[in-house]
Formats: sequence, structure tokens, C-alpha cells
Amino acid sequence: MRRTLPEFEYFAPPSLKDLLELLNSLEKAKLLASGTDLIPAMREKGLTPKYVVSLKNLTKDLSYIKMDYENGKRVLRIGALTTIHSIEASETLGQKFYILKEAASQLGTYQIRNRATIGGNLCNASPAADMAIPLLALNSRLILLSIEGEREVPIKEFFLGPGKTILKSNEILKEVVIEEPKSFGSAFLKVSRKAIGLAIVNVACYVELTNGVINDIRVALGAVAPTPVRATNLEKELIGKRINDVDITEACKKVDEDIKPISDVRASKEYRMHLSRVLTERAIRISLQRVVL
Amino acid sequence: MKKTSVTFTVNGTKYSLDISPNETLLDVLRERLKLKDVKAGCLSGECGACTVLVNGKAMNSCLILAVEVDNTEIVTLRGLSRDEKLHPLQEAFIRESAIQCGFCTPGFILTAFSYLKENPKPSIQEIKKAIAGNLCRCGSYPNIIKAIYKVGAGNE
Amino acid sequence: MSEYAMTSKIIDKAIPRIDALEKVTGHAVYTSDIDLPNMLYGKILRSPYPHARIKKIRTERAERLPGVKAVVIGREFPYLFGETLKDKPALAIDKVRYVGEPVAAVAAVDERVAEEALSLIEVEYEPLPYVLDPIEAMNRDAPILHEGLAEYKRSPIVKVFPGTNICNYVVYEKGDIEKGFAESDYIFEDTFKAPAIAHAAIEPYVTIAQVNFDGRITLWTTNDSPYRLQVGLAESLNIDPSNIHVIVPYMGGSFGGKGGVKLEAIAIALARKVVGYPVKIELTREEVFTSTCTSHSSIVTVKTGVKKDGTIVARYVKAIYDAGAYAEKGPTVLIQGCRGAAGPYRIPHVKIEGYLSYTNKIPGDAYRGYGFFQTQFAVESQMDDIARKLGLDPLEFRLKNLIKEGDINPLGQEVVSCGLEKCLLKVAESIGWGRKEGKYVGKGIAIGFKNTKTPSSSAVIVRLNWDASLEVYTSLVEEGQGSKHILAKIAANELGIPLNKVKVITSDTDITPWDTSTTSSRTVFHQGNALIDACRKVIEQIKDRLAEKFNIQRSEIMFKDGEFIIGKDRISLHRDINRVLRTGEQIVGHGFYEPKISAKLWEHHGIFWMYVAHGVEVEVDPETGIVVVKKAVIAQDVGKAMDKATLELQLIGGTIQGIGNTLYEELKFDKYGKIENPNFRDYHIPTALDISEVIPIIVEQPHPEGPYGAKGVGEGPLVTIHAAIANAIYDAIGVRFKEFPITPEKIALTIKNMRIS
Repeated sequence: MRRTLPEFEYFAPPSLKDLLELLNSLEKAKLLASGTDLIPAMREKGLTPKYVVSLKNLTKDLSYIKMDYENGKRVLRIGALTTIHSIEASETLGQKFYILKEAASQLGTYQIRNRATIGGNLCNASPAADMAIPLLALNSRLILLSIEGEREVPIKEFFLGPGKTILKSNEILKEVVIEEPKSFGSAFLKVSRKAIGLAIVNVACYVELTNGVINDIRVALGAVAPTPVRATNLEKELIGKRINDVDITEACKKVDEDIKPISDVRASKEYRMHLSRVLTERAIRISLQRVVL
Repeated sequence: MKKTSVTFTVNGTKYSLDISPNETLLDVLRERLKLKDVKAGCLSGECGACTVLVNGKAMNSCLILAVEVDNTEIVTLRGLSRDEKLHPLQEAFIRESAIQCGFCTPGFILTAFSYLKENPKPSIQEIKKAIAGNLCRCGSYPNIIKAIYKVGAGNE
Repeated sequence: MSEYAMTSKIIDKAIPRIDALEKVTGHAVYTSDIDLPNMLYGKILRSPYPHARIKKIRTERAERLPGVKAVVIGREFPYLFGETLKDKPALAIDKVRYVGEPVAAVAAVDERVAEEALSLIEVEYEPLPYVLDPIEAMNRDAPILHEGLAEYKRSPIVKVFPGTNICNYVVYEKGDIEKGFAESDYIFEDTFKAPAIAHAAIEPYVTIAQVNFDGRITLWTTNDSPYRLQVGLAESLNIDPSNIHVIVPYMGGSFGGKGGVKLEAIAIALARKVVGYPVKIELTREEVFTSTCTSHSSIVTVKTGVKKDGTIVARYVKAIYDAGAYAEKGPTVLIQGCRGAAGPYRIPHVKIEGYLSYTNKIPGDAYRGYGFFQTQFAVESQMDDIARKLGLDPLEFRLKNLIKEGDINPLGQEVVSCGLEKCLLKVAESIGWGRKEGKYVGKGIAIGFKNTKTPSSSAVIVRLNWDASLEVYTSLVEEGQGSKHILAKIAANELGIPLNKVKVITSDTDITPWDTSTTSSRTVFHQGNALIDACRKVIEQIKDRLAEKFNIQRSEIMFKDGEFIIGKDRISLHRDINRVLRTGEQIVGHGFYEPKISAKLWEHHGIFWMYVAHGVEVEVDPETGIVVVKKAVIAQDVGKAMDKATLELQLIGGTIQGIGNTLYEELKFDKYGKIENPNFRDYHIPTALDISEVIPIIVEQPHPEGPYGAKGVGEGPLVTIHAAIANAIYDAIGVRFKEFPITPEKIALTIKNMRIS
């Protein structure tokens, strides 16, 4: 660990247009949103970026939480520079987006939530990224922006590996778009050391019931694979089943096939496998209870 | 490294400084402005000892590049007492015996101050969550929580 | 109290701590806050190997870097340091013995240059075989860490075994252990382990050293014992102690870790090369975790013989403590920990053996409790198991065997001032012992004791001014425990002066007088007595003045409740002293206290013992393994409560720290003995979210020699909490964990495997 930060060339473009032009001209610039990931990476992980491009002047452009309409459907739009605290405290996020608030409220500490951004959390691409997990369960889309224009990417395709995203070197994450879910049935659970802890396992679940039949279920897990993952094998097992007929505990064993946890300083592979089943089952049960709200 | 000029207000006083972009707010406050009431405990944003208010919100100054808080209002513990009159939180910490070694105290008081502004009458559980990013190895938590709770209970 | 004090009026009063205002306004000064003109900044290069010979060090490139003022390596500063065994160099000399050991140091105009300079120092190592486990290290063919063990300067209480890694051995015996086991109906033998615990005080370690042209060294440093440091450094450097000036401002927590020689010797080595310039070294959090010290990890085997009716007849304890790469205070931690190893019980036949072994890891050192929790965890865990196997209630089993006033303790000492039974009964009642609260809810109790290092001594000087203000000069270090406040109260109470006219000046060896150390829960007892002595001397001097002034005999003057009584006249000390003293006049009293014991330091079992009991209620989530401590109760016999709020906070705070030790805190060592989680993110000390109800109960069993009957407080909470939690977890889920931390992962996987099989 070093006490002093390495030297770098610093830019603070005054507008979105200036930012996109700058990124197009620099090779491998590091974007600086809050610094809550970048600074520890420089201090503790030996990161020595040549260029650091600050987004501080774009807060007014990229910090918002609003409901909107898209193709006749209600969608939630969250600007990439929206702080985690704003998400936690937002009254715009109704009950159907509850798991976003849950995840936000358990991300880091109060001090970090006051500063960290949803864009920073996603682009840092930790396999345990707390905001990624519920967004994945809600089938969110990400709007990426560069000098060439906008493109949309389903969040499922955004993460490529630990610390790696699909972003091109001249691209920024502009916005997160989430279609308003049909049901209230969702839950987010996280096991970690209280407050500052990185998740040992975090899980988000979203479920839709029609006449007692699971017509859609999405389960996302973090910290158990190189990226946040969807438990697609488990989902296939449960879609179309009657909740009265299905043994959820037994079904949750399927989650083993969807994850590839490792042992690290926080937990062993065995514990993560065990906890994945336990938390997935709990998240599903809570989601089912919440459907009828 | 090329220096850049920043202007911000600290405890009511305006400063214009030429600093390197890789200086953290913690460095600038402690080393340049000699505000030693801001403590350095871990440099990783994990202990909360370096907490300051930026535009009224509690943040870890060790995780902020000073250039990023250009044109903001920064408050450290010393900025909390006005005209030598203690803030109710400071009085509460003394009254409730919420201090042992005192190293974590500036961070706790500023975090509590920031939180009480947005939630003036918090429950015990809400307080615990808000101060979970401030570590106290001496273990004064119960009295710290009590102090903050009582100040909150006295709020409208 | 002395014959002069007005009972304990001020002592019993709830008064805000005298250091609270400074701390709550941010004006309290800690070592890192000190800025001196022309200060240079030091940084340390550390070993990447657990055990290696240093073949070559090249420093020229670092020395040439602009801004670098000094570079120093071990061979230029070949002194050895250590409390009772001088085995540790400031910077490694011919070999390194753990990952993280200091190898070279740099002083530069700022930290940036210093950090860069480190990368320019080239070190050639020859890796050696290494050993990380203390039992393996004691084997005949283990790699030897200290070839020169026989030649190291050491105190007579340290027994080393040259040619091995064993750097202390201790044995205590009472009665006839073989006879005891022969008389037993049942014999139980179990082995328990305690981990290395990081002290994790929020304030990092900092030292500023300046050497002047006359060779005199000044240190501003985070150290719990200015005189112990001064004397220790002087012995190792072969200079006069008066040539070392030690100043310790407020400390941000220590818990035993900031004692001995840590950064001071390195800072001096640099400072001698830049005479006249102060050199400041401040550790990063990573360095604090990896390169200062931890508590001693241990393997403790307890063999207990009991009668059918639950009477304990014999106890044999074998304790192996892991010293890490250097002895530090390990030899005396072993001595003390073994003193407590049989637990606070009436046992006719006792044998305790302790071994301290080197390993190639970060050194073990004093940690609040000084070796006691390692053995008490073992004994108190086993006590529960024995009770259950005999079909006895663990509470009744303890009540039957615990020591009371007048008994003989396992060391053969007569028990004086013992509130242990009361402590146990109070915690049992408080947690509702005997009531089952829920399926995965469990309750656990544990009792213990802790002595103080004996004999030790303290001096205190008081200076009464003509305006009735008072200064108390003491070398205690205020690190949060509140001793500064308590001494102020004692002075105020003895002399009848308002507390706001009492100022306590601490820890500066040019100003404050001798004190052995701020450790071992000894401050209130020893310093308190010295202070009372000093106040008495002030009173006697004033009596002399009055006798002269009124032309009477001194024996005609009494002092009571803050007033001098001459016949019918009363002269208030604090209101009327200016009638006795002229402006500018001061009366100084120099007080001293040392227990009247003919033994040398560490040889005596303890002038006082603290007694403590913990009761804990936990709830376990069997699937995630997460344990919630719903309620923790601690009762401690403190002799006399000198400041209720301060004491309760010490009991609460220590309990919380112990909960962290037992449930959350785990240092992860890799296969090289390197610590993999040297940060607060992955070494989990308790946060506000981790605690529920913690209830402190003060029990007072006055000690005949304590000031106002007071004993000590600080270490009690860290002696019994670990076992109480382990016992509660057993009660909740029927699993006995003989090691801690008892993490969610361990619980969940144990239960899962139990269910499968």
C-alpha cells in the first residue's frame, strides 16, 4: 500500500461534448466518478493510470432518477452519476423497484453511499457489485454513449469478467433503463461483514405469478462467478411450475450449476456454494410473499 | 505533476490553493491547512476517521481528490462549534460518556450531524446503520448511539 | 483513601471526563498531529521473505534521489531490543525472520520521495527454510530462527533453550499432580486454540525522532510507557537514560500493542544521520496489520481431574504460545498467562507448563489481558463440557469450585479482595440462566481473573499553586482508559479542590516522574497510591507553614474534608490557601508507591487480582451460520469504582472487542506466513451494527492496599468473553468449537456436514 497517490494527467471536461471528444482522443483513460474505487485501486492495487478524466462537471447532466415512457411502457431512468444515497432515499422509486433501494442501502457505508455512483459501481465491474445484482434480476438495459452516438446493451451482456465491461475506450455509461416490473415480487439479500464488506454472496430475485403459476422468475447472484450471473438453470426449473406443486428447496440445488465460486480471503468455495442455495431459497420465498402486495 | 487551482470554503473560510490533482482532500486539510482534527486511520475509506462534510454530506476525505471538490463547502469538526458554543452533538457526546481515546470522535460527530439533517429523529437501528462506517476499537458504540439518539429525540 | 479525604465524595460523583472537551472539539493532540519545523519523513523497506539471509544491500541509487536526506540499514545500527530478551534489531542485520520485517529505512523531504526511494534500494536475499507452526518449530529438525539465542541479553526470568526455537519456559506447581489425578474419579483432557488477534487501534503507529548535536534524543511517539521505552532504548543503545526524552501525547488506542520498541529505534537510526532534523515515520494501515504485532496465538491443553460430585481435584495445563519472529513481551506474556492457566478455582493439585516458541511470522506481543484469555478460553470451555458430562449445571459446577476470600488460589497465594462469586451470580441472573429462550438461542457463562505485574512502581508529583490550582504530573499515557480523569478526581478529593482547578500533565520524561508502564491495569492502583502520598506531603508542608504562622505545634493541626482545623478555626485549603502562600509560591509533593514486596518485577503472583464474569445470550442462524449476540453481560470486581461512567465504558468496550475477537476477526496467513487481509475491509472489527445489548455490572470488593480500595479494570473484559460466547454457541446448537474465531462459515459448514452424516 502506498500513502501518496501516483502521478497522472488530470482532465475535467466542462461538458458532455468535451468529454466525448476527449475520450476519443486519449488512449486508455480512467474515468473518475466518485473515486471510491479508483483511489483504493491506486493506493492498494498498484494502479497507475496515465490519464484520469473527471466527470465532476457532468453531475447536472447525468444525475437523475425519473419515470418515463418508452413504447407505451413505463420505464425508470437513472443517470450514471446518480449517487447511491440518492437511489436509497428516492421517492420516485416505488415499491416495484424496492430491491434497488435495498441493494443501495447495503452498499458500503453511509459515507461511501453519499459519494459513490451507480455508474461507478457498474463500470468497476466487481463480480459482487451490489447494484448490478438487482439490475440483472430486473432485466435492465444500459445506455452507452460515445462521440459516435448512443447504443443500448442488455445488462446481461455488459460484464465480461472481473473488472471488465463491454465499454469501448471512448465510451461512457450514460444511463440505466429499467422497464417497470409487472409484479411486486422481488427480494435482495446479501451476506457480508456489516457495512464496508464486499458481499460473500448477494442475491436478487424477481418473480411473476399468474393464478399460482410462476410465469417468470429471474435470479441473479453476485460474488460467485467472474461476473454477476443469472441462475438460468434454476430459472428454467421453476418457470411454468405451480408454486403449490414445486419443492423450492429441492429446486434451489440447481443453482449449483449456474455458479462457479472461488475460495478467497473472504470465504471458501464450499461456503459460497452453500450460501448461494440458502440465500436463493430465501430470496425466492420472500419474493413470492411480496407478489401479493 | 502539473498543479491546478482549486477554491473551496473550509469551516467558513475561503481558500484558493494550487495543488496537484493527486492530493486527496485529507492531505490538503491536514497537511496544507493544518486542520489536524481530521484524522487518518486507514486511508481506504473503511474506518471513517477522516470523515468531513462536503456541502453538508458526510464523506471520507481520504477517498476524495481535492480537485474534485472545487467550489464546495467543507466542514471539519472544528467548524461545528460556533462562537465557542458547542453543538448539541458535542454536548451529548460529553454527557453520555461517548468518548474513550477520542480518535474516532471527529468522524462520528460529523457523520451524525450529516445524518440528522436528513433524518432528524432516527431510530436506534437507523442510527447504527448510519454510523456503521465509523469504527471505534475502544467499543464506545452503545454510548455513541445513545448520544445521537438523544439529540435526535430532542429534534422536532 | 487517606485519613484526609472527605470520604469519596468527588470519586462517587458523575463528572464529565476532563479530556472529553478537547476530544469532542478536535483540539486533542495525537502524535501524528505534531508538525515540527524542517521535519523529514521516513519510510521502511520490508522483507518479502519469511526467512532469508541478507546477502547484499545497495542503497546508492536511493541516496542519490533528490530529496532523500538519509538511508540506513541494519548493519549500521546493530543494536538489539526487547523487554526481557533482547533479540530484535531495529532493521534486519544479517537475516530476515518474517514477511514484513524492516530491512532498510529512508528519510526524505516528503513522503512521496521517501516512497520512491524505497523502490531504488536493492536487496539480495538467500531464502532459508522456514517454519510457521509453533509445535513444528519446537521439533528437533526445525529451522532455527535465532542462532545466537544463548548470547542475547536477557532477564533472569527468561529461560531459553539454545539451539532450539524455545525462548521461554515456565512451570508452576502446587501439591502433587500425579496424586491428584490418581484420586480423581474422572479425568478430562482437551486441547484448545486461540488465534493471533490484531489490536487494530484506529490510530496508526507514529514516531517522530530528533537527535541534537549533543547526542540527546527526543521522541514523540505512540508508546504506552515513556520510562520503560527510555530505559529499554538506553540499555540497548548503551547510552544514559537521561539522554532520551520521551513525550507521548494522547494515544488513539493501544490495547497493549503500542508498547516496547516499535518504530522508535528505526526513527532514531535515521535521526542520527540528520542531526538536528526531526524524522517522522507513520505507518500505513497495511503496515500496522503486517509489521507491528499481534496477540500470541496458542495451543493449550487442559487435563482436569474431578470427583463424582464435581469437586475439582487436579488440573494440568500445557500452554504453547507462538512468539512469532521476535520475543517482544512474549516471555512475560507466557509467565502471566500461565499464572492464570488453572482458572480462578480451588484446586489442591496443580501443574502448569508453558512454552514460548519462535516462528517465522509477525511477532506476538502484549494484548489486553496479557496472555490470560488464551488459557482462560481453554479452561472455561472445558468447565462447561465437564459439567455437562457429569450431569451438573455449569453454573453450579463453577459455584462449587470457585475461589473466595481466604481460599488459596492455584498458585498457592491467599485470596484477598475477591468478588468473583458475586460477579458470576449477577451475570447468571442478568441473562436469565436456566431459561431456554428458543430453538437456536443459547446462553453461556464464564469466569476468570487477571493479576497485575508485581512489583512495579509509580511516582507522581503534585504542585499546589498560590491560587489553589493544582497540577498533577504523571507519566501515565491516556489512551482512552480514562486514568487521567480518575487521577484528577483523586487529587480533587484528597485536597478538597474543585475538579476544574486540577490539571493533569502526562507522559513527558523531562517533566513527569517515573512510572513503570501504563499497562497491566495497574495505573489507578499504583499511580493512585503515589498521588495520595504526594497529596499527603503537600498537606504536611502546609501544616508546617501554619504551625509557624500561628506559632503552634504541627500536631495541633488536623486536615479533614479539605479544611485545616486548628482548635475552633477552619482554614479551607482551596479558598484560603492564599493566606498561607504568597503570590507565585508553590508547594510541591513528590509521591511514590511500590508494593512492599521483596521480589523483583514479574516474580510475584500479583499484588491484586481482578475478578470477572461474562454471561452471553446468542442466537444462531443455522443456515448462514451468522451469530447474533443478543445480550452480553459483564460483571467485574473493581475494588472500588473510581468513575462509574469511565469504568462501565471500559467494561462495555472490552466486551465488544472480545465479541469481535470471537466471532468476526480472523487474520489470514498464507503459506509464507504473510497476512492476506491487512485492512478493515477483510479483518472485521465490530461496527455499530454488530452489537445489541451490553450490560456492565460493577462489583466492589475493596482491596486493602488500593486507593479508596480500587484495583484495576481494563483487562478484565478480555479474559472471559471468548469462552462465554463459545459456551453459548454450544448451548444453542450443540457444537463445541475449540478454536476461534467462530465464523459464520465454520458454523454453517459444520452444521451442514453434521446433517449430511
